[in-house]
Amino acid sequence: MKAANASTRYTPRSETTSFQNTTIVRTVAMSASDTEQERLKSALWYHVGKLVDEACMDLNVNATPQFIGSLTELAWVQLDNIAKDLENFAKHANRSTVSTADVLLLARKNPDLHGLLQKVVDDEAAERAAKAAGKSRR
Amino acid sequence: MPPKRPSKANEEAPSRRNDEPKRNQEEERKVKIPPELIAKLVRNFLEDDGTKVSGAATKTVGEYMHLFLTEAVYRAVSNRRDGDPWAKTTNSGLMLEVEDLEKIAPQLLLDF
Repeated sequence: MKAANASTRYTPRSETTSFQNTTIVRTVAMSASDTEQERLKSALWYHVGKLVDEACMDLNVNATPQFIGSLTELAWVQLDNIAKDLENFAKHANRSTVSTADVLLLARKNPDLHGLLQKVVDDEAAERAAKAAGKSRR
Repeated sequence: MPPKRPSKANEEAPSRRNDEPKRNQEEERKVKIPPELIAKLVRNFLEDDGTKVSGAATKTVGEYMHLFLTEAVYRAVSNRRDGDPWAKTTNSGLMLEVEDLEKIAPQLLLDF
């Protein structure tokens, strides 16, 4: 569909190679992580496309592939920012594992968003508690 | 209410509340970004290899991104429909362009 088209339209950048041995090694190493990044971005593109289509259906609108592409780019940058924030929040609390408390800290400036995320965290905790209780009963 | 949120964000607060009963009916969302992808993406951006991310945290980040993306679409539509994204009578079947995203991006990034 539209989303699938958008994800296939995304082509990785061409790789440059050199005849000098050392440069080739470095280029290959770089391109390996570059390809991984491109694959991740393509996957994100596909899911953003699906999500946008769903939202558009509710609102009776259409989105151009360019809109989905730009939104993917925006989401990519936002994820980059929040991942680094989360890492630093966890470090500040002397932890090496990012916890839900760190994610809630992301939304500290937006009470509405904080409330919605708090609900997800509470639901998740309740689900886990129920599961643990069910296990111990058996 | 947070004072730093300008008029547009405030305008959207009531419409978000309108959406709540609909959300509850559906309860389980049909479309969402798989947690595996979120986990991979976050790991990709981390600077320290020693940092891990808990499962519950990954799920919450997934919800955060879901809200971010849907909010982007709703704000873009809202912008084209004079502040009411559900006004289907006006601009029915409109096309969302990159310019629509450009207009809402600054405020969206401030709110998230």
